[in-house]
Amino acid sequence: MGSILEIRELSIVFSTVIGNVYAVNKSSFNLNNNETLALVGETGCGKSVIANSIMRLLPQNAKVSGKIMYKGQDILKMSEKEIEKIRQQEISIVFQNPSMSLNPLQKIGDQISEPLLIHKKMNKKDAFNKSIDLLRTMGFQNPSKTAKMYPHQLSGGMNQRVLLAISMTLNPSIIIADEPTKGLDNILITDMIEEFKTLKRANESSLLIITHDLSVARELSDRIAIMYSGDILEISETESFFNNPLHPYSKILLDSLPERGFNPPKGTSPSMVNIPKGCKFHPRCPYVKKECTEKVPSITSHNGRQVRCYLFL
Amino acid sequence: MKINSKKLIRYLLAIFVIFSLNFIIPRAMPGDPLTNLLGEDFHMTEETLQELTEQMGLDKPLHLQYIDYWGNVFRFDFGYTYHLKGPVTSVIFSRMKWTLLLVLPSIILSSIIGSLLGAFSGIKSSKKVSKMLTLTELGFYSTPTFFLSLIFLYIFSFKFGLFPTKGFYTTGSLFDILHHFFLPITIMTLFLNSRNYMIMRGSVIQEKSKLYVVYAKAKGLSENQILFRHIFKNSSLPLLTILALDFGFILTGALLIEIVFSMNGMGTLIYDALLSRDYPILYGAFMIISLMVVLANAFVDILYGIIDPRIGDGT
Repeated sequence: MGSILEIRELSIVFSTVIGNVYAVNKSSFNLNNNETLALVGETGCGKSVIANSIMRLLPQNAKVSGKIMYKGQDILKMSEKEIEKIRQQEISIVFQNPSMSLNPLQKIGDQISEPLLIHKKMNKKDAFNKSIDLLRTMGFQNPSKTAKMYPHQLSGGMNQRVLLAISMTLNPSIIIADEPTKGLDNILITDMIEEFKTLKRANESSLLIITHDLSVARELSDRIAIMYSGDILEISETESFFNNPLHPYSKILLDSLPERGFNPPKGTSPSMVNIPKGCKFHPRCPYVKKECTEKVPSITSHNGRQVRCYLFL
Repeated sequence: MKINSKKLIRYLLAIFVIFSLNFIIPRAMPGDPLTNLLGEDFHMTEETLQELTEQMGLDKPLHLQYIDYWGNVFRFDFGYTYHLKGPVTSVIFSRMKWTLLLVLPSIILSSIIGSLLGAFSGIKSSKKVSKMLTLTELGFYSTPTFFLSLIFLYIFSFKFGLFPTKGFYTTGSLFDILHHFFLPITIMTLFLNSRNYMIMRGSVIQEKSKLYVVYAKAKGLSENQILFRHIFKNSSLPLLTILALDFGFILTGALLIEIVFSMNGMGTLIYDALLSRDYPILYGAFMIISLMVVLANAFVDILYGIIDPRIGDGT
């Protein structure tokens, strides 16, 4: 299985008034053809920043280094014209705040057909009909009526599905979903999982799902990457991850699941401005050793899985 | 394209109140209502006074006067100005058409230029060009129009002799009228443009940080496509509001330009009426301007509902 997206030593630093915020530190991972990868971590660990950096959507105060290779080309080195061709046509993204992502003054149908008009030079009527088809695929009961409505007339969950419909317009190779279940209740989360399965069936896309919800990751992903305070701590097949988490943080995360006793991790994530020395997790780690507080462990292979911890060195 | 009945009632009520005030003010003011209605520099004999009081129905009880008053309003009869010797309505309309010829092109031109310049400047707000442009526009915005008029008049008319110095026309041909109007319209446009520019720039800067703009970028739209397909329309709403609110101000705001260029328009009409206490003209102008302001607001209200679907839904 070849990989379609290779992220190498990606670091992202934001320069702000309170100092440099180290959002992502030398993270590397691959996204394979046709696979679903879940990037899991607590709020504020830098997962959405990675998503936005792949699309080159970060604000100007972000300093990005490393490589993001898409089909052999480095996205970070592309000109503005080149990246405009990658966006939506090759890689599309679903933001975590669907109602705010849609233009309040435009009809749903027009917003779905926009990529078809811009990139495919399709005529307005055909594009609008295509948008109605996509709405039907995403489970809208009366798609031609929905297409004529405005975002404020739909619920957050419906707008979410509209964004999914938009992400599919041009059959991109990669779809990134940033916190697709944020703010949804349990029934809607179940629906959303179904919709992603529909999406996977309809497109032959690779899917990068960014979430803090382990159960969503378990349902949807083939592989899972655990992120903590800007570092990737573990990457593994989803099944083996849930059977046997390696990293101490992964274990603690799994223990927080309802079916495993609902034990929340103790302490809080470290500051991203004054980052702790050594392994970022050491202040909360039950297995902390002296070396953990001194030097960041490198990520190593362990039975075909990757983990960043001195226990496995 | 519909205005809902609640809003319609509100506008009709506004017009009703304004017109009623216009009835009450001259009769409630201290002094003789006849003087208040005819103007103070009008002298007459005892008999004509009696005659006029009867003719204008001022000897009737107030409620009958009020009914008569509305009858006049519907006939567009706002009285007679003894000062200018003519019916108020025709005097005002003959002046107003010239002022509209100055004001309407300025409003249209300044809205187009101001919103486009403001939008580009807002998108590129961190660039030097944008900052220089803002400085220039701020200069125009803070210069009083009469001062700008004097400078333009001095440079282009006196020094270079390019444009006539006064009036609406000399021969009355289309070119002649355009020639006369060029400087006043330019000044008015520059002034209104600077305000429209400021509002649009601020609005675009606010709008461009919204998530739907980032999402439009994620859809692979170029900067210009994002501006014209998304930001421009959404940012133009505050500008529309200001245009409607300022409509009355713009009509009288042309006054200073009219004085400098010796143009006998609405502005000078009101100005002269004020100096000579020609009340009928003042009342008439007050009513017509307020009627136009209400209509402009109603128009923008409808337009607003078309542009922003969230607004029409409320009531």
